[in-house]
Amino acid sequence: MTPGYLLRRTVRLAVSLVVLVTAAFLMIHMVPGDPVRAALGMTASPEVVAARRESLGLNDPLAVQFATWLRGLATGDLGTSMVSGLPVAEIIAVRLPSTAVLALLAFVVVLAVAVPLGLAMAVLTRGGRRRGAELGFTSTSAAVAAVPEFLLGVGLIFVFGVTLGWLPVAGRGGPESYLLPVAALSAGPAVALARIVRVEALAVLGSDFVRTARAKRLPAWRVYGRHAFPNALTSTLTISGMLLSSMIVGTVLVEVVFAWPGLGRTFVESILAKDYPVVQAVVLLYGAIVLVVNLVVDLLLAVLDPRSTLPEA
Amino acid sequence: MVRAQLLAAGRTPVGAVAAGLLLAFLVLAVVAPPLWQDAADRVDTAAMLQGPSSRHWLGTDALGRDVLLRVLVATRFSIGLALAATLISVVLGLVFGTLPTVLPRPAGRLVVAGINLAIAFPGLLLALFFAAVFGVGARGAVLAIGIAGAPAFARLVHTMSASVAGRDYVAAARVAGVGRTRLIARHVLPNIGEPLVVNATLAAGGGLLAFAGLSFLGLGVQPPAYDWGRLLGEGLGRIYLNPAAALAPGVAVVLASVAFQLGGEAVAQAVGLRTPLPRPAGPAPTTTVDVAGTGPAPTSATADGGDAGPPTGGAPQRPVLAVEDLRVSFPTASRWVHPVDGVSVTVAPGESVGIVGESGSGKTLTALAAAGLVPGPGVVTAARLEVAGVRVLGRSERELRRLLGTSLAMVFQDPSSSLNPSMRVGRQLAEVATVHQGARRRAAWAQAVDRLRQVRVGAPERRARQYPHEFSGGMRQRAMIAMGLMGTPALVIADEPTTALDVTVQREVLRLLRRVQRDAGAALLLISHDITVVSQLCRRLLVMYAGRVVEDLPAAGLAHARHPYTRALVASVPDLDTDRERPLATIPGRPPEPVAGRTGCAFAPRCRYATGQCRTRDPHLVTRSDGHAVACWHPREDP
Amino acid sequence: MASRSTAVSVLAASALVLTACSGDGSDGGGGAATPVEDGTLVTAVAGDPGNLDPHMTVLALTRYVGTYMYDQLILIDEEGELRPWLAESWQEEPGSVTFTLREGITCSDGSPLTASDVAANVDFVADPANQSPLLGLWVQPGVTTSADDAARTVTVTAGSPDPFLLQGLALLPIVCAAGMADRDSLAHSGNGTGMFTLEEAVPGERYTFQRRDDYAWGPDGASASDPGTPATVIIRVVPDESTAVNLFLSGEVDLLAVTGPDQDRITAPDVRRYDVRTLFSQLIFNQADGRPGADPAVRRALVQAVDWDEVGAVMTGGKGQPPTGLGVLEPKVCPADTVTGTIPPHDPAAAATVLDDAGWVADGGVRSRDGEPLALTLVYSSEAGSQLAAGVELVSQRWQELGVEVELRPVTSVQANEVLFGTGAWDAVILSLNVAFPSQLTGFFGGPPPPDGTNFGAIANERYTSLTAAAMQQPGAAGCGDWAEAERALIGAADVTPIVDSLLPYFADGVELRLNAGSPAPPTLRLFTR
Repeated sequence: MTPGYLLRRTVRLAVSLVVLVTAAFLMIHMVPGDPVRAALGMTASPEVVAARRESLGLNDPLAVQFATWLRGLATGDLGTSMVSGLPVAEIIAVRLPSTAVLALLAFVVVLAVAVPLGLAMAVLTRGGRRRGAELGFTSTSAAVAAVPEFLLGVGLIFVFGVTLGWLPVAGRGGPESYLLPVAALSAGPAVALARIVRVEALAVLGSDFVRTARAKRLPAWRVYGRHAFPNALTSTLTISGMLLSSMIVGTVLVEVVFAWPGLGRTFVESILAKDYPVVQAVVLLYGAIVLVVNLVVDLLLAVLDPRSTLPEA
Repeated sequence: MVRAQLLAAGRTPVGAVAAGLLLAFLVLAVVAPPLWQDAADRVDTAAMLQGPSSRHWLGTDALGRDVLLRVLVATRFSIGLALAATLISVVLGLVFGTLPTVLPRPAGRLVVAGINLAIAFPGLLLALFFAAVFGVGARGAVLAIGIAGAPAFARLVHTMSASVAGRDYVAAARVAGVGRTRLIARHVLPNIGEPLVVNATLAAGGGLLAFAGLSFLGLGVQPPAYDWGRLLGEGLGRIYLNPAAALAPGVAVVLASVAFQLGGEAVAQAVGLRTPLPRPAGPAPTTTVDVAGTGPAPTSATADGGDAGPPTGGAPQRPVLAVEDLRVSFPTASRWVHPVDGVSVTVAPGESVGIVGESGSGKTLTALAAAGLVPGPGVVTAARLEVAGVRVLGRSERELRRLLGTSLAMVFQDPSSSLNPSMRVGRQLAEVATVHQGARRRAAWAQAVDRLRQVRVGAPERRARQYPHEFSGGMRQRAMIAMGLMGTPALVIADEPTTALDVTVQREVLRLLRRVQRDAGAALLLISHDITVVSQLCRRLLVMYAGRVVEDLPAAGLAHARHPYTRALVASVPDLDTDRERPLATIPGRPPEPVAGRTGCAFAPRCRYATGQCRTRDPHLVTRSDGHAVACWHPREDP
Repeated sequence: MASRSTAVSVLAASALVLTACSGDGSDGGGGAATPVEDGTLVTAVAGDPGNLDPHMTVLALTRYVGTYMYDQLILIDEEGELRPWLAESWQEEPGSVTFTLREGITCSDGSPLTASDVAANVDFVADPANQSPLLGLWVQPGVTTSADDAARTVTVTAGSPDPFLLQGLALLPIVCAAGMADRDSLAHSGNGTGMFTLEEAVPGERYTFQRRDDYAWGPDGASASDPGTPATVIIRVVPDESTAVNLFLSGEVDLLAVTGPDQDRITAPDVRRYDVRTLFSQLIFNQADGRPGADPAVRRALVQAVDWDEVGAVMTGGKGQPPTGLGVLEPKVCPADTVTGTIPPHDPAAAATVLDDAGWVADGGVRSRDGEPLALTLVYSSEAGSQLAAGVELVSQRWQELGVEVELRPVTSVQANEVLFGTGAWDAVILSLNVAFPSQLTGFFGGPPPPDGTNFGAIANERYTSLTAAAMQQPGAAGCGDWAEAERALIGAADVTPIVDSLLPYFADGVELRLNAGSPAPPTLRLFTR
């Protein structure tokens, strides 16, 4: 990994963030509706609505609003939510951790399940062995991956929370309260990733350099552990990066089902309520997370697979 | 072509399941609305919000309508919506994916950057955003999901069209002055159609789920229209009162999505976009004739067949490779085939033996079998199979490692793929020493550097720390050879070691192989389609055809080859004496596919000397007193 | 699974929900319950209250969370009777009202509550510069105050005729002096005289309150030392109603309002149920120039074509009640039935005749007049649940049977405000609009249309305007006759058609309480063994 590579990636990250922020600003202004009237209620007099609009700067041209927001951003002021009246920075500070913990736990579970499962299935079914197991794995995993997480969440609550009463039906509490949301969030991605890992691992197992490793008469663990799997996991790593960022962002539906006090729910509500300050800040945050995770993945890749740092043709 | 692939996809178990499901949904989408539309829309407020009963199997909704019928009728709309959204994704993806090719370079790069940014952002959030912009309802949801799915297609189209645009015929078209737009329409798009269709199928499955998610948040289809998402949303609101009403649309969504995704994957496998299935076992027989050339019948070569002495002449040494009646079998759908079918080879210590033959003749498999490396599900049987005096068959991997660890070295065809791309070259060499000789890391490293030096890799200390991609092709092959030298090989098996290399580099590598063989005193089994290469390096040649050895002769006696096939091979090689004015010799016809059983000589269909006997009776390898063996009913004597 | 937060907050609910009450503390538990001392009560709300400043919000759930920290001057009980709370007595004069505060009231910071403090609350809301959304709701523009700390009296004088001055002021949460001086502090904590203080706030998850043991100024003398008062109250944020009911059934929540179908799951005989009745939905036409609703015949025909009882049953899953008036929350100051016999009766044939007579003739399905098809855009909330949507669907079906082309247009709450007050691209709306007093409806059903006013339907009903003008001149219940007649004028002209009342039940498991303006009054919460 060269300093030039690092610099290139960092510049690209910064440019991406600027584009993202601008896009978010423009998009939220395309959402039809009047957030001020909605926040104040139908009974509010036109004068109060107009006054609030003025004080929020909503009568300014978009460019001025954008400049104002950017200025605030530079000083660390993300603005105030129009709906809840709370500073946006505070909303994020309170909500992000619970979302992040949920997503990270689910991500760990996904990796812990998908990588061994995918590798094991690849080894078991390599070279067309065990067709039955392959068919079972493929169809089962396709079915599990196709169940939307909110449906799975409702189903899990129905069975383990309400019917059996083994686990809390909702809310964040002790360690046991994490079980169902994490399970709902990770089941689909885990099997989906396991399929990818298997396919990648199969491709690598059939590759020439693994044959070379076998020809060297290395022990099986060394053939798999040193030669096959690290190469199978480079593309898995790329996908995992996208997975992690999508999990942080994608907890939305699960948060609703499990009454989880996270940021995803806030984001959805803010979009619907056209609560610009919150939406812009959250988009910026999510974008930063996504991009930083991707950057980290690329850096990891650069370490694992030196070819990846070559400038694109 | 595409139809054949679809049929092939349908024959896999996964494909069959997907096809069955898709067909069922298709039928439902066609017949359900005309059959049950009216019944499903019949309002009966007296029967509202009922649980399952014999009249309403899944209960009724808030207007007393039958939930089951509504789920069935909704099939058409639900799938239609998913397809519409996918269509939008594909169209937008095509537009934005081809823009970088059409636009001036800076603008194109900007578009690519935009695509990469958009693709990093989760689709559901984009869809949410767009749903808010376009308003709740079917139109907004289709647009939202369609647009949210576009970046993935844009990237696909961009990547694929970039690769297609790099191909020769497109370059040729460009040189010929074909405009960019026309280039895309005529040359690029037709070539990316298949992967696009496959990905669209996968996306349609995902689209169904996305609609369900939007409906869950209240942003999906709105009354009076209904899709599975809306029915699911309604059902979930009362899931604890009537679970069936939520379960049915949920199952429908999941099943349909699975059908689309499995279908897409099955087609992808058949098309060969990805290889979720293991690659066809072993080197599959192909129809290419490596020994190419154009021209009339083989010219004849002459030599007397007496001067090459028997290879093991003199000392009754124990052979380093002893193979008798080797058979490698692979299962196909209906039966076993034998790409290697009764091969016997003996290699004495220090001897160099070459195996020549066209692709698919079984020479590589023979080498792999000798090394115990035939990939599953291939099965190896032999009357005798010994390497360096060690019986290979029936031994555990662990025993072979102990017994063969350092005495057998292999060099493969493509040095660019035969080295582990993510491991330093030095370590790949060193691990042989650490594993088999229990060497310490430092010592093993030193040995690796030494071996690299031995194969004439410049600055070996530095090179050892590099990765394979930093090596040139020839240098990689030398590293492979060095890897074999880490032990004390009694036998080096080199499988097409020069085929992937430049001509100049080829010579270097061959020279190196010869030197190594000499220095290490190892025997060499060289496999190649190139009879010239083999004859330069080996004292004895085995000619393989259709899984059998058809001739075993001294390299020096090539001119006196007796099998018509060998003669044809020799004739197809141009040399200084070849008349440049005349077209090159060629072997008419193609090598046969490996089949279960055969009658007669496999070469007979291509052989100008074939007789009825050739077609009915299989010739056996008959060894002459001078060791020259041939399997032919009508061996050629000197011309 | 429509999220409850949205179901509660939409169109209507943003303005209202807060006030008036009716309640029917059906005592299902039998008499053997014994009080639980210093127990913990857990209740749930559907969304996060956000900024807790009680003067800067109209969100129902923010206001509800606030009631634990802030008292009111007067409690309005289930029958609409006014009960002393912070004010031990009050005196109504024409155009003004004087409250006398109870003695010994202290704030959570220990300081005493003075008459001037109360006056400062009213002044704050009344000052337009402060942009309080309560201005116009409970405190009308132009009010002035005077306070006598020694006599503990506050006098509030209306700037314009306001028949419900007393009732409005009764509902104002009273903030203590320190809080008024430092408004920012009110966003996350409380400074009031309530029986509870905010111990810990975890936004989006839970709000924990502790009892003030010195509290002794509750409604009708309720105090912290009464048997069964909870030492701790936890308000959990549970956005999904099914989830909330799951929690209630598993015993993790003791007190819960349930708007949706999941109420059917709560069947335990010893769970108490307190119902609050509200007008669930009403139909309003856009009478702006060029809109079909401007034609009285069209309005009448559209109303007559539909069996509103049937629609009401669908919208409430059969649990609704026939409406008795416009959207004024229970307990109503003027409890007259203005609906029965006033709505144009259900008669599809008559409806068709009305349209025929008015020149809207059916020609192959859709009626038209002068080449103009009778096409309507019917707007409703996309966030109010599938039963409302089903009811709307039924309405549109009936209208289509009449030969009217109907386009359903579901909107979110922000879009609703944009459509109704902005673009005007709608013909009929089915919404839930409820207010505390009849006087607050006059701006919606009369006066200038947007952008100058809030008469979004451009209703021009002269009889309603003149009757309400007369009623505004009479204090409180004295004008009820005129208010009722005014409502009948609107309903009879098919300007506004109430569709169905819903019963919003509070389920209480091991909890007893009294309702204050349709919402549990925290100082009256008592825990009992189940």
